[in-house]
Formats: sequence, C-alpha cells, structure tokens
Amino acid sequence: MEILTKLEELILLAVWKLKEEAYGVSIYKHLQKVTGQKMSVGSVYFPLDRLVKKRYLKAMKGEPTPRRGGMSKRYYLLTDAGLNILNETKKVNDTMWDGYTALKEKKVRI
Amino acid sequence: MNRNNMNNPPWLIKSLLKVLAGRKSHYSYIGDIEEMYNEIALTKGVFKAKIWYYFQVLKFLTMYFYESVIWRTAMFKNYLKIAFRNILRHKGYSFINIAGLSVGMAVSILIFSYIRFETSYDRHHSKADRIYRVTLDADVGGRILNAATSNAPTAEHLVKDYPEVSNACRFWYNGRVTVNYKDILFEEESVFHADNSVFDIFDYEITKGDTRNPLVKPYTVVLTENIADKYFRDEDPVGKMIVIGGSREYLVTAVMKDIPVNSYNRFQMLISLETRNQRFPDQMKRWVPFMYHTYILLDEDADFKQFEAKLPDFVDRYMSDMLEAIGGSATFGLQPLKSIHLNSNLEGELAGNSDIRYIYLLSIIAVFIICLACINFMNLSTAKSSGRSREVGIRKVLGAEKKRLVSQFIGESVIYSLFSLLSALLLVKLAEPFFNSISGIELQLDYIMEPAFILSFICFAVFTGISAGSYPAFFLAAFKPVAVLKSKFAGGRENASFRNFLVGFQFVVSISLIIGSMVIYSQLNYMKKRNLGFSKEQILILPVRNLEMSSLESLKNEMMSFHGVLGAAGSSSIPGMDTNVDVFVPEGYSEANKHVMMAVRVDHDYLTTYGMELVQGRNFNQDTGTDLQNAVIINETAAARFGWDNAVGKEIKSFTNNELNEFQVQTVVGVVKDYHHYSLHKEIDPILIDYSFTEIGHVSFKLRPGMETESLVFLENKWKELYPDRPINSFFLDDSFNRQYRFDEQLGKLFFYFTLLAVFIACLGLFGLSSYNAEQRIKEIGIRKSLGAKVSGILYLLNRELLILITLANLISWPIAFILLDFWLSSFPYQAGIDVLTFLSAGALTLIVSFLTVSFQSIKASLMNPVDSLRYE
Repeated sequence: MEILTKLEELILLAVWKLKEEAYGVSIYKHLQKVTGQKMSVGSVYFPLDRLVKKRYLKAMKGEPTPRRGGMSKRYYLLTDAGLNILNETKKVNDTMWDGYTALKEKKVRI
Repeated sequence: MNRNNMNNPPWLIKSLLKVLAGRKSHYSYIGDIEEMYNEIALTKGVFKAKIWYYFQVLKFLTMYFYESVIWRTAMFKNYLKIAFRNILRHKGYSFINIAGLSVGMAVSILIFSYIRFETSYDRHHSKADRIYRVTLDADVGGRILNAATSNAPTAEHLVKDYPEVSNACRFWYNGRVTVNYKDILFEEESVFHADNSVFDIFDYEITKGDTRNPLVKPYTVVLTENIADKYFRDEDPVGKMIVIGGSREYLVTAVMKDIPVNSYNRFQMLISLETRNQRFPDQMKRWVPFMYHTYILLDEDADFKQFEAKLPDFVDRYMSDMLEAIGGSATFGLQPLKSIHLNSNLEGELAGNSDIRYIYLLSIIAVFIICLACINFMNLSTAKSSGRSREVGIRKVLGAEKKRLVSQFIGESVIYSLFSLLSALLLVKLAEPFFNSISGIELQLDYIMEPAFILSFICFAVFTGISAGSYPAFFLAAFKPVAVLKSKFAGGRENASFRNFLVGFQFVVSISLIIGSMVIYSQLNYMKKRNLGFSKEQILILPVRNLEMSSLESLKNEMMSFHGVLGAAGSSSIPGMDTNVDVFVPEGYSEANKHVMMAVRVDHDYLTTYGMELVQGRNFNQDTGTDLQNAVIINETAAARFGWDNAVGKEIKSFTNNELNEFQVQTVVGVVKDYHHYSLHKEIDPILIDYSFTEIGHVSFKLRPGMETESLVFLENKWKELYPDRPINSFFLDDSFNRQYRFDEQLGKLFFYFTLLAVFIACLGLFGLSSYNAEQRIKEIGIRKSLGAKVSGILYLLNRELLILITLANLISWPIAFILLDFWLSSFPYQAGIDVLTFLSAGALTLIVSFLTVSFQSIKASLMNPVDSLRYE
C-alpha cells in the first residue's frame, strides 16, 4: 500500500466526514476546526489534486453561485480506492499507535 | 451601499489567479477563495477581507512555485550540469561557438545602435508627429529643382488661409558670421534667423531669460548654452549686447539648451527674423527667392496628405504672377519632420542627411552575420552529434520524451548564446570608439543598460540560441536508442550534405560581401580620383568677407610674393560648395522662356588657378575695360542646353533683381570644358561664370607641391598682419570637396569591416569543421598512408569537398552580387563599372583564405605517422 502524507490523510478523512458537502471551502474549514491551525486555502488544493490523480477522490462540478463570483463549486467524493486506502491507513495507524499512552511515557535518555 | 461592489475582490489579483490556475477546471478554486472572501467581508469588514485575500494569493503563489518548480528543476539541474560539462570538455568547439556568436551579436548590437541613433532624429520634439517642412518642386527652363526651402511669406499665409495649420515658423541660414563680445572674436558656422514661433513648435528648452517671446523684437538673439559659455563663461549672458556680422549690436534675450546631436538643424544661435523684417521689409514680402526653411504645425486631427493636396491651389493663388514672369511651374510639398534625416536629399539641405537605404543595407548585413554565426553552431553541434548519441540513447531508454530532449539541447544552445551575449556586450563597449571613428557619429550606448533593453537583448540571445539550436536539437533527439546503443553510430556523416549546404551558404554570403566591398571601394576611388576638369590638389581656400576689388588684388599680390604660392584667384563660390542659381534668357529665346543656371562670380585668375581648360574663346581679360561689364564664360553643358555650336559672341540676359524687371546683357567670350562643380553624385549642370568682384567670398591659392606647410604658415602670418581683427579659417579644397563623399566613405568602411568580420566568422566555423573532419578520418588516413598514399593525395582527399563547395558558392554568388551591385551603382551618374577581375579575385581570395584555414588541420592529419593513429586497433 501507499503511505499517504498527513495532509492527504486528513483531507481524505475530511471528505469522508463531509459526505456530499465536501468542496474546497468546507474541507478547509473542517481542517482548520479540527487542527486549530491557520492554513491557507491554497494549501488544500495541491493534495486534493494529487488525491484525484491517484484516483482516491473523484471531482464533480457543482452549480455556480453569485457568492462565488460566478464560479462553480468542485465537489469531491471518496472512491472505493479511497475508502480502501483509508482503511489500510487506519490499520497502520492503529498498529503504530498501539500501546501508546499519552504523556505517561518516560523520556528516553541516550 | 452597493452590495455587489462590496463583494468583489480586487479584480487584478483575481485575473492573476485565473492565469495561474491555467485550466478552466481550476476556476472552482478561485470560486472557493471568493466565497471565503465574502464571508470575511460580511463578518469582519471589507478591509480585512481584502488583506486576507492578498495573503491567500501570496501563499497560493508560493505553493504554486514550490509544487511546479521543484519537480522541474531536478531534471533541469542535470541538464545544466551536462551542458557545462560539454562546454568545458570541448574547449575548442565551445570557444569557436562562443567567439563566432559573440562577434555576430556584437555586430548586430552595434548596427542596431547605429540604426536606433539614425532613426531617432528629431523624435524628441513632443509635437514631432505634426510638424512638416514645406518643400519646393519647380521646373524652370527645363531645370528641375527639388528644394528644401520655400519663400518668405508662405509661412504667414498658410497659417492665415488654412485653419488646420495651427502654427508655422521659418529658419533662414545666415551663413558664416563673425561675432564679437568685448574683445573676444569668433566665427560661427550655424547661425540662423528664426521666427519666435519656433519655440512653440519645437521643444527647444530655454534655460535662462525670456522663455516666452525671446525672438519677437528686432536685433535680439538666443544663444545655445555651448556658445553662451564660450562667450560669457561665468557672466549671465541675458541682457548683454553682442556684435554680429561686424557692426550691428544684438541683445541676448535668452539662453537655450544645446541642440541634441540627433537633430537635423543643429544651430548655435538664433537671431530674430524680425531683424530682417526691419532691415529689408520689401524683400520679406516677396515670393522669390526660395531661401527659407519653413515648418508648419498641423492640427491633431488634420491629415497631411489631404492638406498637401491643397498646396497647388495655394501656389496658384499667390505665385502665379511670379511664376509666369520666370516662365516656370512650381508646387509645394510637405515632408514630415521625422523623415527628413533619412528620407530627404533635396537642394538646400542644412546637413548631410543619411539615407534610408543604408539603414536597410546594414540591417541585412546584421541578419547575415548572425546567420553565419548560427550556422557555425548548427554545423559544429550536428558534426559532434556522434559524441552525444550515447547520452541520447541512455536518456531515451530511461524514459526521456523527445520533447524533453529537444528542449534540453535547445537549452544548451541558449546557454551558449547567453554567454556570447555577455562577451558581445563587452566587445561592443571595446569597439565603440573604433566604430564611432569610422561611422562618424557619436553612438550613444547608455541605453544598453536600461532594463527594457537588457531584457530585449536577452530575448535576442534566447531567440538566437533557439534558432541556432533547433536543428541540432531535433537532429539529436531523433536518434533511435537501439541503433545508437547497439552499434558504433557515426552520426556525423549522415547529414554531411546538409552541413555542406550550410557551409556553402556561408561562402555565398562571404563572397558576395567581399565583392560588395571591392566594388564600393573601386567606385569610391573612382569618384575621388576621376579627373574633375580642374585640379583640386594643393589649393588652399581662404574665406573672406567684404573685400573690395583693390584690397583683393593687393591681398593676392602680397601672397604671390612668396615663392610657394603659384596662383591666386577670388570667387563667390568654390567647387563643392552650394552655389546660387540665377535667372537668364539666352540669345534666341523669348522673354517667357527663362533659364535657371548656377552662377559663379570670379576674377580673371580663376580659370588659370584651377587649371580649367577653355574649349572655345578666351579667358577674361583684365585690361579690356569692357570685360568686367559684360563678359561671361559658360560651360559646355550650358552651350549644349542652349543649342549653341559656336557660343562665343552670343548674348545672355541676366536678371539682377528678384522682380525680374532689371537685367543686363552680357556676351559669352569663352566656353569652359565641363568640370564637376559638385561631387560625382550629380551630373554636370549648366554653369555661368561671370567676371565680377561684387560677391567675392573666397580666395583660392594654388600652392607649389611640397611646400604646402610653409605656404600655409606664410599665408596665415600675412593675413594676421593685414587683418588683425579677422580670424582666419583656411582649408584645403580637396578636403572640403571630398567631404561630399564622407557618407560613401563611411559606408565603404563599415561595409569593409563587416565583411572582414563575416569572413572571420565563416572561417572560424570552417576551422572547427575541418578539425572535426580530420579527427574523424584519422584512422582512414592512417590506413591509406600505410597502404602507400602520398601526403598530397591525402590533402586532396580532405579538401576536395571544400574545393567543390567554394566553386559552387562562387557560381551562385556572382550573379547575385552582380545584380545587387549593378542596382547600387545605377544611382551614380558616373560609375566605375564592375570588373570581371573583381569576381575572380573575390573567388580566389575565398579559396586562399579557406585553404589557409583548413590546411593547418589537414596538413597535421596527413603528416601524421600511421602508427600513432592505428595503434589501438
């Protein structure tokens, strides 16, 4: 399997969470809410494009609205391959995080 | 408040985003950003929203560059590395490439600078597009006159009669005058009388004094800064009085900036035309003579062609009486100010103008020289291609697309040409003084450092690189990986025919240029050496002013007392100098059929001093009292024009004033053999030589050959003794006469040097190619030698192709050169002709030069011991 970058992983998850409402702004807002980080709108597009290219996501054209300066929305849907990679990533993550208890671990001194 | 307005993000940035997004499908991103923008604008205000928007775009940009550039540069770095390795590994080839290209570029940049300068004339005037000069086309008694001048009242009447003429001004050339301020005495060349309106029409900038009406009053003068500094140094010139022309005092009303060098009329001071109005009020109202340079300023919406069509009417209205009296016809034309320097060559021009044809010619040369350098690059890179075939094969096997390879190789040649650009700019800087001295102009190269030009030079270099590199790039990128990797692929031999074609082209260009230089040189030489009908050597001219007949005679006698002076004569004009034309009616013609002829007033020693021959009749005789009254001599052309077989004794009526109502009848006493009063650019015109002391402006001294310097010193000392208050400005006639060929000389020199450079570039390429060939065939030569071939045989083998190429190139270039040069020569009335020998010698010259170029390599190859070359097989 392919190892996703953290941002790719988060974006895939966000798309999964947002269901039909996943487009640039909503994904960005969701990420910002979850991570609490200020990020630029632009920074989500390149991972989004990569994910579409890797066929984990499918892009669909929505309806244009005046609030958007006449530009249409671009919705993203999780593909089967996307679901698969999420499952596998989760498995890897669980294995990796297994047994880790937050802040209790002693520092390792070398 | 308009909601829509509030909701629009900065449009400029938005369109930038659109450009960056590229694909339409990406527009939805822009929509996303705009949606957020609107949200922020509603909650936090437009200002914050805008700031946020800018910030987003900035981030977007950095992301864009990071994402797109980082992946491309990885390969790019590799290309760059390979390119530099190649440049360093083949130092010889790289040097030839860069040297050829940089010389070619330097020539192009120089020619570009020259053209830029020549086409910049008078463009600095803000109204230059609307300024036109009124010109005259006249036909009087069969003499066609195309002059740059018009008559005095025209300017005023044009403004009065035609609403589209918003202003007009006149310049009147005053000729050489003496100027005194206190005890300082100077002679100035470029002094004009002008209307005050020149300051409204042209952008002459007044730095001191009356900025509005400096030339309204009579006896006022405006100085240029240069002249003002010369006379006044630290004093303030404004309000001072200077004496012009020996007696009258003029008030300096203003000082103006010096006229830029790229100006048609570079006067040094302007005297108000009002001065002439006051002194000669009648003359200023007459419609003859045509002595004023008149400029008009048209309205912004006026069409000059339409207006020009109204001028024949104007001439009819005011000048029909005058034209009828003369018996001629005339009309006015208009000439845009900006085209005067390059497109005008009329009578009465103020300056030796350039010619648009030279500009074309030089541009063509620049293009050819760049082509030659590009061909070198193509030939050498395709020849060397076998060396790169492995690299191409490996790259292709590893997945390089053809497109990528092409751009790699084009990129390499762009690197070469950028290097060349750098050294070309250095070369230009080094060659500047040399170029200035042969072209006779002050090139202004400061512009090169302007960002716009740096950018355009880089574009030029990139373009050169692309055009030089595209053929080799496609050639190299087309290699089949299996073929090049499997077998020893000798890529160099297969396209030899195309290479030969390119080398042949180089030879055609070089040979044509060589023939061109030779023919230009021989024409120039012919014009300078041709017998003019008088001897111009060892004649010293002394300009004089207001000399009475008696003082002229005493001056001549004083000077003749020195044994270095063989003869002396006074005259109104000298050969090579603009000479006035007068109106005559020869015997046998009616009053209505007047003739216009050049008229020179001379004393009785003129013909002998100049060594002019008489074919009929006699010279003027000092002792018969009547000669001074009524004797004239005409030239053969004039006699032929009047249809006189035996001209001696015929009478000519010559008109003595501009109204054409007073005349005196004169008798022809002799016919002088035709001589060239002007340069050989012009055919010989009818000339009337009048025995008169009224307008003597020059004294000519014939000096004993070999004693020029002593005589000059004697003359100057004597002059200072006789006229301590007059400056001396003597010059030699051959210098001043040959100045008419100044332009041809410059062209010839420029052409010669560019030819030299073209041949140099072609040789450079040939050298590279021949050394490559010799290297390629080193084994073949080794085998041939071990089998008993002689050195001469090997030399023949190596140079056979070259011989055939040069012969072919000669056969092609001869007719081309002949047609072009024949066309060029046809503009000269007296032609040196094109010698067959020129062609043969140009061919022989190329042959010799190219054999010298290749012989170094081929001799080395043929003398080589076969053991050395075959050792490793």
